[in-house]
Amino acid sequence: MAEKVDLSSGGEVLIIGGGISGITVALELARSGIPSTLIEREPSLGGLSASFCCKASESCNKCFACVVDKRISEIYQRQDISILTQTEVIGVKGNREKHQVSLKKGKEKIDLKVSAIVIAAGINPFDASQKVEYGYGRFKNVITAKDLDEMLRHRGTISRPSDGKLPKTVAFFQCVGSRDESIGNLYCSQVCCAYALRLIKAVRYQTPEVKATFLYMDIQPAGASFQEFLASCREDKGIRLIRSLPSKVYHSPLSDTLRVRFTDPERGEVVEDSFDLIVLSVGMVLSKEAKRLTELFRLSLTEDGFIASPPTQTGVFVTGACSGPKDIDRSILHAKSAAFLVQQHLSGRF
Amino acid sequence: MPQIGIFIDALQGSIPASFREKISDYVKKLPGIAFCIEEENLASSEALNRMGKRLEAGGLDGVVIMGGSPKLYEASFQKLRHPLPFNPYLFAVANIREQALWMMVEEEAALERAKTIISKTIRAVSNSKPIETQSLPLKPEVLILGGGVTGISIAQELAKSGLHIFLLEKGNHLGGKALELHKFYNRPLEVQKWMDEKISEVKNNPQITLFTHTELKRLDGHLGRFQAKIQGPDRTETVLSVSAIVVATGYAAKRETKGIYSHKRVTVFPEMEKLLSETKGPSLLWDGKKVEMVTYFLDGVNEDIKVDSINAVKQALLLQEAFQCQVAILCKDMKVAADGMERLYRKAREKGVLFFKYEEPPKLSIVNGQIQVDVRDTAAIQKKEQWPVSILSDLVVVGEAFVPAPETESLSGLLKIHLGNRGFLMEDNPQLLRVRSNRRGIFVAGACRFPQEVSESLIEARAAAQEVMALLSKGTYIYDLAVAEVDPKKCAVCYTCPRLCPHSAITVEKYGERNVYIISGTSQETKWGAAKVDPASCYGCGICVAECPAKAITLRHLTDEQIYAQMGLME
Amino acid sequence: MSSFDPKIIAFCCDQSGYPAADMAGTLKLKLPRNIEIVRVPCAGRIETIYLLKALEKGADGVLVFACYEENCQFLRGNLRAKARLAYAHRMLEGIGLEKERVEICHLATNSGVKFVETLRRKSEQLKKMGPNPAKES
Repeated sequence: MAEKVDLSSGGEVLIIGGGISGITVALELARSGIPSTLIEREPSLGGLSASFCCKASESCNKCFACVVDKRISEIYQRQDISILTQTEVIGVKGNREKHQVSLKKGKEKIDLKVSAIVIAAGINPFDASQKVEYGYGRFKNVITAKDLDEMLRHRGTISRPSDGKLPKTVAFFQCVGSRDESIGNLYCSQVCCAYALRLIKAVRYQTPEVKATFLYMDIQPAGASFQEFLASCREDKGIRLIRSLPSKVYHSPLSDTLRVRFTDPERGEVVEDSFDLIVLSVGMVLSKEAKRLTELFRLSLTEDGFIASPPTQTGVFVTGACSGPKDIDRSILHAKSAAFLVQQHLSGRF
Repeated sequence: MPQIGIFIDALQGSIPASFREKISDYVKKLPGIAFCIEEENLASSEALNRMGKRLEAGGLDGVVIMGGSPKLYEASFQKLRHPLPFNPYLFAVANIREQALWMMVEEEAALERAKTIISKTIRAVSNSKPIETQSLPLKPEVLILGGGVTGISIAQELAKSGLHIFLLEKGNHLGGKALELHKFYNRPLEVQKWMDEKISEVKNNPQITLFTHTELKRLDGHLGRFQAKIQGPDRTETVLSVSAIVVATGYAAKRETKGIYSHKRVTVFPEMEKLLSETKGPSLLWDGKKVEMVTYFLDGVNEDIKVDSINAVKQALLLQEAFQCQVAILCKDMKVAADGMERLYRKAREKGVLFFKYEEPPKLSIVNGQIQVDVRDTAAIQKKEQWPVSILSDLVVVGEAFVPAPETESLSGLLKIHLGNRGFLMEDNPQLLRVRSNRRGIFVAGACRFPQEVSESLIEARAAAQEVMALLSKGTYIYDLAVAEVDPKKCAVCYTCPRLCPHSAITVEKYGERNVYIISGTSQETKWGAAKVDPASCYGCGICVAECPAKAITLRHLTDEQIYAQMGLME
Repeated sequence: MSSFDPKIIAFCCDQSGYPAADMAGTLKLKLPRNIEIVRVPCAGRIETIYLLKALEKGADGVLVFACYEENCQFLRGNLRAKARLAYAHRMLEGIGLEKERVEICHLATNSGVKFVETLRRKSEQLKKMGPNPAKES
């Protein structure tokens, strides 16, 4: 769709990254009558959050995945946004109001003149295999929360990768790659507690025979109805919320079950439990692509390793999770505020 | 017999030629078909141009596109809208790809389904009527309710964009709860200085008309034509006419005063902030005595709000560094889900701030004029090690409950916007997206929706400014009349629809002059008023249509006949 | 096994139900044969009379696909639909028809799998219940 771009009307704004943040910026600018060009490295728009499933139980659990789907179909309907997929920025010149950007789409090279650039390059989920002790990549039944999410979106139910059977017991490990000095990520990814609890809720609603154990450090709230949501998780007899991060996962080759040692406050001691499936709540890290863009645009990183926002007069804006961990709700909000800044920047020229 | 034009879209081959051929054979035999054209990719500009030329020839009552989901084409209709004398509501899409070809196991079944879909669609489009577009002029004038940090920031941003702002504050000064803060957790600025600058800028900005000691008394009208009656300090009433409204009335804090909480050594965050900002010396004095041990008791209230955790860690660091106090923080969960908080938390631990995570709330008691706090720490590995810790404190800081500002409920009634969780404004519905309300032209930002940290409020302020600009920057609001419409002759003024309209787009002005209707064909005036849908505020959901007991309301773009046609009941 | 192929009229709200149907198509999930999809802007648009007319004029079952609670684009539409369904159920009980013939299913844009599973389940259920005795002719 909309692959042919008339470059004379390529718009005044280049948005790098076609995830929910980039999409929102483009849509908001279009609503204000500002045409833009949105580029995405992948063949389709949506980014990370487009692969999420609906995590409703009896009623909506406010995961915002459906909002992303709606925005994607909305953006394909707009005529004032040029969408270039499988496209990368390879060079940039100029500053403030005049930026000359070189793009590469396949073998084709495209030059673009724009007045503002928005970087919404997003994040990558933390590579869980770096936490060797959890066995991701070695044990089939250790998966990431994102893997589970995609499984639910496309197949509708939870199953064990090793034998396709319904797991009776599932453990969710929080803070994998977040709040962890040993890997140098001294920040909270802000979204994973609510994300994992919503996944648990959705799974338990669909298959109540699955019992979940949620192993965490501190539960981080998200949104205006989180308290009620958390209370409903606490009431659920099939969910154990335990403040204890496990140190290691042991694999039983015969049954493909996994043994985990953690502190059980109920029993008041260190226990060893076995689980059919382990889901790792992986945190957010800046993507390699975003790092490359940071260098290309000579931007700096924050202490936590995300892109720091440059002064607005540079005409370069950073939004979404690449500027610091954000859930879908906050990414949309942040993108709206970025769109406003872009609008102010453009009107300042006259 | 209505004349229908047909376009079959191959969707770049995803509908195979053999299937298309059978469809086209079927269609050509139907009555009232003006033409049947196949296109390889209907969304391409070449195909759309060809389509445009064909439609210009005229003589058509409707057009059916046979291809994929209607969601794919709605854009193309819009693209064609301006250059073509053909109304977008006379297009209909037969979704033979997603709903027939891809959903059926055998091709034969798919073909049968496709045929049913096609005949239904043709019938539905034969019942369609063109729907016109209207425009509503919008003055660049906005009313902001609430002069706290959110309201001030929105006013500043919108004034920069050239709008005129009326900023209403019920108290006698601007600033709101932000004035209780001393330092930000994430920025080196002094809050007071930063706020003073903002406030004086707002006061001196000719684009901003400031009303203090003023409250909203009544609101009439809809998007673009809001009439706000406001009451000033000496009961003077003024009517402002504005295009849009932003509500940023903030929250209220409720302090627990029962039992030990009334003790002079138990305090709350704002008082602690004040003490920290006012104390210059090397030691901190409270009630004439040096403060050495401070305990924070968090999560007793506001368990899901991050603000207290953030302020506790921020204050603890100051207390340890500047005043050599020993600090203990007792919480259920440490809220670190804010940029930079984990580092701050770590720093506090390194500096010796003690953290206890409890399950049972700690017990407070008075011992020798000090407060003793007993807590069991769940972080201990062995249960037998979970001995209670007693902390003899000079000062205990507890959180205040964040509750809706007292006028929130009456305000929601005046503005006809919804109340949500715990009495704050607006329900937590993902589809609303933040800062929008249920009414077009009214936005809700900041802590009146849900209490939050200042930096989050600033982002919301800009997002609200963006929403307002997206609405007002073009000077007109253009919309299709694809809305609900009341037949005043049938309306019994039963008030069902204004009660049920989620967007508060329906009003009844029973004896108002504006609602006197002349029955068509006669010169007779109806005595009673009738419900009236404001077309610019209607979202076209059709809830009122289905609820109206008198069947006085129709949805212009989806009539009963069109629904029955889709159900296959119009044989 | 009889050759009875139940006819289901599926009302889909344009916000959730219809996109879910689209997604099901894109995932190439297969539907039972005899299904009519009716696209409405919001489940709140569906009148009780449509549900009853559908049964009267030949459907064996009616499904309403609406947004999840607290996730309706029009805030209250799904709740209104639910209330009307309850009303329709009372009427069906009054005339001695199984109320299971009319059902509401809450889903989201990305619930393609749930959309198809619900229709399949309904189709199987109706097969067991047999044809709708109230339909004309």
